Amino acid sequence: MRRVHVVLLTLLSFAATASAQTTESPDGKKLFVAFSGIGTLGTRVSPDEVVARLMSFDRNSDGRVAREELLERMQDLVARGDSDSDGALDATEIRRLAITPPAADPVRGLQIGHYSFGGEVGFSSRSHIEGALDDLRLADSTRDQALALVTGFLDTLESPASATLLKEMESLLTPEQLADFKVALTSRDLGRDLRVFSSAGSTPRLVAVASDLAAHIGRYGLPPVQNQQAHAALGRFTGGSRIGHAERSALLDQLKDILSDEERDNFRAALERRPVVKAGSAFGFPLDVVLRGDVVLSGVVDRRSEKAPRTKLFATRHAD
Amino acid sequence: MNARVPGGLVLMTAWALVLCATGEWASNPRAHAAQRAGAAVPSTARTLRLPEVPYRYANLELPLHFTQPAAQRFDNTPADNPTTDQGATLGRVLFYDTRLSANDTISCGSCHVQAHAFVDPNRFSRGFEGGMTDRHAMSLVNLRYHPRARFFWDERGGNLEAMVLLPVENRLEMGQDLAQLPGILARDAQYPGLFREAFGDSAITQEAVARALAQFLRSMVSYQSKYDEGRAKARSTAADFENFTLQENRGKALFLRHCSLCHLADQEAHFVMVEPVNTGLDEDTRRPDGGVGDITLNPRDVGRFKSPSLRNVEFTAPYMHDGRFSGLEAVLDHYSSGGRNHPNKDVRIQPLHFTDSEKAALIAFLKTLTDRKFLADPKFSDPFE
Repeated sequence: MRRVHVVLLTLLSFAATASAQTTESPDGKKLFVAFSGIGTLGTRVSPDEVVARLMSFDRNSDGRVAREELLERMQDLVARGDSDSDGALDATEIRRLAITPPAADPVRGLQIGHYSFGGEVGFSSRSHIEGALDDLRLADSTRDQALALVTGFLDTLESPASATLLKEMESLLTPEQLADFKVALTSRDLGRDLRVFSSAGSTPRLVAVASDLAAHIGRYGLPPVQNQQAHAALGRFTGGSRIGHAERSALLDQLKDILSDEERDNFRAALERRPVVKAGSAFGFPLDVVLRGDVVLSGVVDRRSEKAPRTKLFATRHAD
Repeated sequence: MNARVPGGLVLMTAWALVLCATGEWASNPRAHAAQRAGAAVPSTARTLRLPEVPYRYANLELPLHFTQPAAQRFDNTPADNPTTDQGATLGRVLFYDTRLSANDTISCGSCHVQAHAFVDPNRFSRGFEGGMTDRHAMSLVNLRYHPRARFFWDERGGNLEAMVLLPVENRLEMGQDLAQLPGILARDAQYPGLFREAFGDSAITQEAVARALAQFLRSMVSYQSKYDEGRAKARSTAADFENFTLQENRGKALFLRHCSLCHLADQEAHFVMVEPVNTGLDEDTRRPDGGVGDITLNPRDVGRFKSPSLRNVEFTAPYMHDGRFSGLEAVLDHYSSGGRNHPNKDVRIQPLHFTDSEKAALIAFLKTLTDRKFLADPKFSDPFE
């Protein structure tokens, strides 16, 4: 018996920015994987810069930083790193501290994730654009008009790219894989994937995930050449369906009679942003669920359906 | 409400009045130091007034979005120091007692002002001898809900029980000798009773002082804002709130899309950040405040800072660890620009190019986090008169 008290809509606000990564266990079951780490733009402060920073406190220029030369809040560093017990830190000691910092505290019950641009982890332009439209908080009739226009515009933009992608995938994937990929591609457009992950005896968790098409391809275990071709096809698709400056201007022009100048200004600003999503961590909530055996349920939530929920959950795998 | 007035404090008040009347106040070294520092009137010169029945600090009736498992996971209350009405009452007295500073001139409450959501409205704070801090006093709102239980802008403080005495002994801030503190407090006949009521033992120890202060800080829960009222009636945080204006709902939508990844992660109550972040405030990795990196020396921590809860942010100016931004407009301008290119800048800090109307909407939403009951609640006020 499965009894799922769906709290999906409550999660929607968070689902908008969250994703999870899953992988396969040796026996083929999907596992819930969490990562940690801080996203930066690719550069980092180096240990040398830390040494230089600390040495800037060396007021008497003796090549060592004594406890009293440091700010009070930093003075414990001397006790931590003064390996020759001379009451001060030299560059070598500072460097040693910088390359062997204390372990980060665990976060009780929370997963700290890393972050990425949505477009790089499977979030479609469509959800970004429709979200931007939502944020304008238009009157219902105006919103409906604008949404119809935006949907048509995006269909025109994305349909050829989607068709080309699926055609290219046909020659690379098995029929089962292709069906799975089609679902992923569709749910990517519809909104968010919501999945219940559980193993027998564990607490089921509802997890918001993005349909990460690259991750889907990765899970198919394709031979290297096909794998490369599939990722290349996906890259072309992503590039082809991305809304650029020209498309943005065209869309805003079409909205001229529907939105006010201020609304179009705000919409333009929203479209120019690159959405950042939590890409390397999953969050989940225990559900009031009774499950037997291992199970993974998947659901697709149409973000547009909040007023008339059309949420559905369907089993994609169960082993009991 | 009945008040208990300790006899010792009445005598001290009378003594203070005599000093004032005879002009000796100005020549009194302690009073002079207080005057120089722009500090509070010493607790010893005032009367402690507490209600006969303690205020309610424990077992608050919190709204549902605070009590959901996701939100409860943020609670850092340790099993061995739960908040009690008596413990937090003692903490309140200690919080406002100037005897916690070396020269009896300032209390915790001198720099953490209730009307300003327990920040200092000045950019930097004046210490017990008149020296200035180099950071803005952090808001103490909802400290209970920082799941990593690390405090201060650089997270050098462990859980509240460990961190509360650091400013007390800091040589610039309060300068008190912690070893002497129990003896100083014991000279007030009122304290042993307060400690007994709080902990069942009249012994005054550093540990008990820390535990009481931590309880008081943890009791400072702000949960009665316009946001909370709206959230209680709404199906989800993302849904429009009935009690919000259109502008506030627009601001909420923008906040959820662009700010919640950091400030409202994994729950919908606390508006805290789970981890410190480098928001690109400075470009130079060498000279400015290094934040967490100055404590851990981990290169990736340089320029990362903890953020307080955004609750009551309308009243916590100036903003950032060094109070560099005087208003919320300036804060939004910073995030709108995407900040400076520090090598550790978090990927979440991207240029957002907010329009003027978006900024106005975001500020309107942020003001819905104001909890006026909290800001004026007598149970958090100075009990010395």
